[in-house]
Amino acid sequence: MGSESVQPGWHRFDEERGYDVRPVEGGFEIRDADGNITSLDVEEFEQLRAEGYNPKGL
Amino acid sequence: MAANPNPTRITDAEWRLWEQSLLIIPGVRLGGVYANKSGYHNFVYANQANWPGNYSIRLAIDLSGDLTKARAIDLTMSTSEMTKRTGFLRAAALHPSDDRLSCAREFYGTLNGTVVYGLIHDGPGQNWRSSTSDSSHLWHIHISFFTLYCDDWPAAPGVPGLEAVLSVLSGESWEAWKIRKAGGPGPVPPGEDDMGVFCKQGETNDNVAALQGLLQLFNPAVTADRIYGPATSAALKSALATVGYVGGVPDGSVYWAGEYAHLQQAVAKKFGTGQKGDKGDPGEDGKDGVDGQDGIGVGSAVQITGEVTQVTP
Repeated sequence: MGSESVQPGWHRFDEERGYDVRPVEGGFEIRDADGNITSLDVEEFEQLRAEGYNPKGL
Repeated sequence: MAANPNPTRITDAEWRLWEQSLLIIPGVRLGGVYANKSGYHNFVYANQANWPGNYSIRLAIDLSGDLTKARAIDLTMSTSEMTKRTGFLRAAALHPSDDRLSCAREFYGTLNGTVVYGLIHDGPGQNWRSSTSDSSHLWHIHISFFTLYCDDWPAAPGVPGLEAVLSVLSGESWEAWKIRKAGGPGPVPPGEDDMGVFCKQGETNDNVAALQGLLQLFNPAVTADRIYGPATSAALKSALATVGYVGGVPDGSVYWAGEYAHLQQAVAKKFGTGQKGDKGDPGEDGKDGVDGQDGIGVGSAVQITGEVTQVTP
């Protein structure tokens, strides 16, 4: 935990779950530890931060 | 409470700040302490080897102490918590007497959810000035610590440690902090609309869940159902009695910053922070990283002393 090399554009979002985030037009992309990327709009990103999950299964 | 997962790079005080932030900030997640990039998230030797001009290794106070540890923390949280906690940090920094952020080099967050707000200073007792950073600080609060103090929890002589930063994040007032540190029973609790109140009987929300999670450390039978009813009041009253707290609301029907502070101290005593690991070799990594900022900067909100600094914390 906490020793990852940082890749341009991505910012660590949740150490425990291994999520990174980067802003894109109209919202954000979330990358999980396996490299899978999920697109979220602004409201979904807020929901992820506030409640820890969102309709797309993150 | 988990042990520090990376004692080679993360100080026990930094890990303790994270673990106790869990108890006071609903839904908070750790964005990270150590990261292999330039700045305070990396250790001094790595910055010197790879980014020798970086602002995190210019001050004498940043070249003293443990030069092998990360010196910053990112806390991810909702917009409502971002604005609330950034407001606490701002108020403490600009308070004429409050010295609880003396160990902090800078912080970034947002006061309104749309504009990044940050302040930076060059040492304890120095004036804070406005600073800007990228838009990721709309969803996470970044706090850097001077290297010299990044493993101080109670305090270095004359300089409050990271415990004081936690106090600020909790919403505890400067006055309440002073009284508590002087060993007093705590001040009169705030009114219902005071920001120092975390939750009260009759509410159902994440703050209640955080309280109930804390109370379970005192009594595993406490139910964490997010409902602040008579049972939660009784459990809070019992926990406060256990730690010898004589201030606050007698029936436990209001949970506020002064009570929190006493409970978290008791939790720290009960569970400790784990053993320190072996020191790592200076400069063993830090060779392959590049700066991870997303490059979408936004303007700062308030000019404090006429100087604005643009940094990548």
